Amino acid sequence: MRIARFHLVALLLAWPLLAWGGLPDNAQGTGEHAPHWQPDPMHEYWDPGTYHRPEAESVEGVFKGEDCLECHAEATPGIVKDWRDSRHARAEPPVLCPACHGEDHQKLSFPTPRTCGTCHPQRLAQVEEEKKYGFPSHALAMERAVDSKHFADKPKAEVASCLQCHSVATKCDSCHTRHRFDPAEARRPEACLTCHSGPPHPDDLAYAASPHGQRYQKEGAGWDWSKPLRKGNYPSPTCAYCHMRNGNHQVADKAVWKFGIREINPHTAENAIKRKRWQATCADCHPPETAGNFFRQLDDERRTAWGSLQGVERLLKALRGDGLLRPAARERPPYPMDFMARLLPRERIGFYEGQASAFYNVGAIERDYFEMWYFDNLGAYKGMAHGAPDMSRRFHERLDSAARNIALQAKRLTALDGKSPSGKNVDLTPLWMEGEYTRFNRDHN
Amino acid sequence: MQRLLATVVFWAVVGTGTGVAADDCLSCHRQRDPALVAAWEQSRHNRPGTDCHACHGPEHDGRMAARARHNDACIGCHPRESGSYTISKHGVIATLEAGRTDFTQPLRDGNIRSPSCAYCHIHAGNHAVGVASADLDKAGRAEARAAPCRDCHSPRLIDTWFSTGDRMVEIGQMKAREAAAVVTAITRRDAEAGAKAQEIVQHMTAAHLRNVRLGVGHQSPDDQWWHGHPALDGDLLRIKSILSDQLRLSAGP
Repeated sequence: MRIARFHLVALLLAWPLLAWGGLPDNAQGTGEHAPHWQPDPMHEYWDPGTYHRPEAESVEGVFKGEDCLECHAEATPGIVKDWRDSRHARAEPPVLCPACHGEDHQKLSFPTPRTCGTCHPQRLAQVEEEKKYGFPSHALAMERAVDSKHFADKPKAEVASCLQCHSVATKCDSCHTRHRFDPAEARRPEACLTCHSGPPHPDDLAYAASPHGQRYQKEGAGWDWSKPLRKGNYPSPTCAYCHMRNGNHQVADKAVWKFGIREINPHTAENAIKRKRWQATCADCHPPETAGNFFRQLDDERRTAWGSLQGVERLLKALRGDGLLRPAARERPPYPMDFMARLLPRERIGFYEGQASAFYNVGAIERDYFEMWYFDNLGAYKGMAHGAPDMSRRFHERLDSAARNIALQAKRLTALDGKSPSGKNVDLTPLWMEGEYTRFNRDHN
Repeated sequence: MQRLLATVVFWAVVGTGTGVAADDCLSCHRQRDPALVAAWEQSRHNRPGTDCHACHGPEHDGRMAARARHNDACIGCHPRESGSYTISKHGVIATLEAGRTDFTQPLRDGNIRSPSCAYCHIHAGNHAVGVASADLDKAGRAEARAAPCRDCHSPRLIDTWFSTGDRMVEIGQMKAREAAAVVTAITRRDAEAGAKAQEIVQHMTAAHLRNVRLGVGHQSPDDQWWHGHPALDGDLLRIKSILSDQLRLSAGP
């Protein structure tokens, strides 16, 4: 044992000297903008199916059965203890390390959803099925991240932060934390909240403020989480109870309001089917009229929010028409893939023009609209959708105040133009295209 | 603040039993655990109001170590840090494991399923909180920082994560420096506007950049991103907009 420990210490000390795997220097991006960006080394861990390279020249040998545990009980004791508490360890025969990682220590891999699907094919099929419903969905989350223009544009160490949540598409341990993978843990709301929190999706605040969430907070610790997410098993619904009903890992087929991110017609034939699915979920506890009233309230809330957003968009488009938005499109750093935008530059206003990526390369008034649309609007939606109308009301007050503030700024910009009409001709390119970060951003895709 | 008050009141009530004065701890433990006391003495915790009792409680009841290993011992003084940790995956697991974690175990060897505050910051009982970073060279700092992670994660992952995390912070610093350079230009034109813009830069550093650091340290995506980088972007462009308007106005009618 003493010798084994000595080897382990020697290995750890020598580790930085050993050539190991990892992303080669010439690794390329993936997706729509693939030719325009190179991944950060951490990308390997968030999307192992695409980027993982085995660790060469560390430990050699082929390890079968329980061989791995001997060293790893010493090398990484935490994960071995975790695995011993898992159902994988209790299964007959047990699911040992090589089942997911391989046997040859020179060619080890991280499991992808496909790896887990070898034994859990139904769950994998459910996740895959999400793809036909489009975004928002877990299965398309990574695609969504890397295909956005700001992801391709910004330094990759900065946007490595995006991958922690968007890797829900490429790994199963976002919700089933390794190495215990306990469904009882994934059923609890906390399992969702690391990602479903923050200004554009404050699901944590919305659920906590709702009667459903308040009951969970009072009693949830004592509920039997080993029970499946079925009618009668839980006194109050959790995130997964409604969004992954009966344990269905396909979370996209009820997405009527599409995250609140863009205007939709809630009464298309497709949405009528989705509303029926919601109604059936609520019917575990509530009569159909209750769900129907709830949807109508949500429809009304959305209509009000979109009315407010459209008013501001009209205002911004008028400023654009008058050439009063600065930096003007030609003065702001272009995205690396935007050849057309270099030929025909245009300020992006609203969801359909690509506002989602226009939060750093714009002037203050456009950024304020971005925050109004992405933060205040989505807070208002999330509150109402989760049965927290007071929260929704607070965010509507913020929407109103943002609209007033933007209107004031618009007035000020117009007045500025009156005072200094020749200011239109001032070239602001050096201010907006230069600077330590701005230059670094331009040079690092 | 409420939590801090509750902690103080709690210990004031409990402490009336077999309480031991803080100075008394040191008189015995200097003999029994000289290395531990020496580590604490050079730590950032060696300051008025943060004596042994602050984390261990005044009761010498055999649960003193377990009590201080629990996150509850830290959150009273570190609410912002604890918020960042709680929403991280480590924090989520800790919440879900509440009541099932054996805090009588030492803070090493993956004895606690998900690292608690103390598991990483007082790893293997090392009480020298906050000094490692100041007193060690670069390699020593990297080693001290990585040691707790290695109980569960591979050295390569840890190394990759910390170098990406360091760059994430450096990029945040670039944004703050770019903003500061713009403020200098604003101040040259208009001292009052410059002072206002300077306040924004201070906020960038004190709030958003701190969030990035907390997010990197605690693996908390919201603090790295929503409360960190895009927030820095917003303030940088607001400062640029101030200068932008000044330049436009100075063109005259």
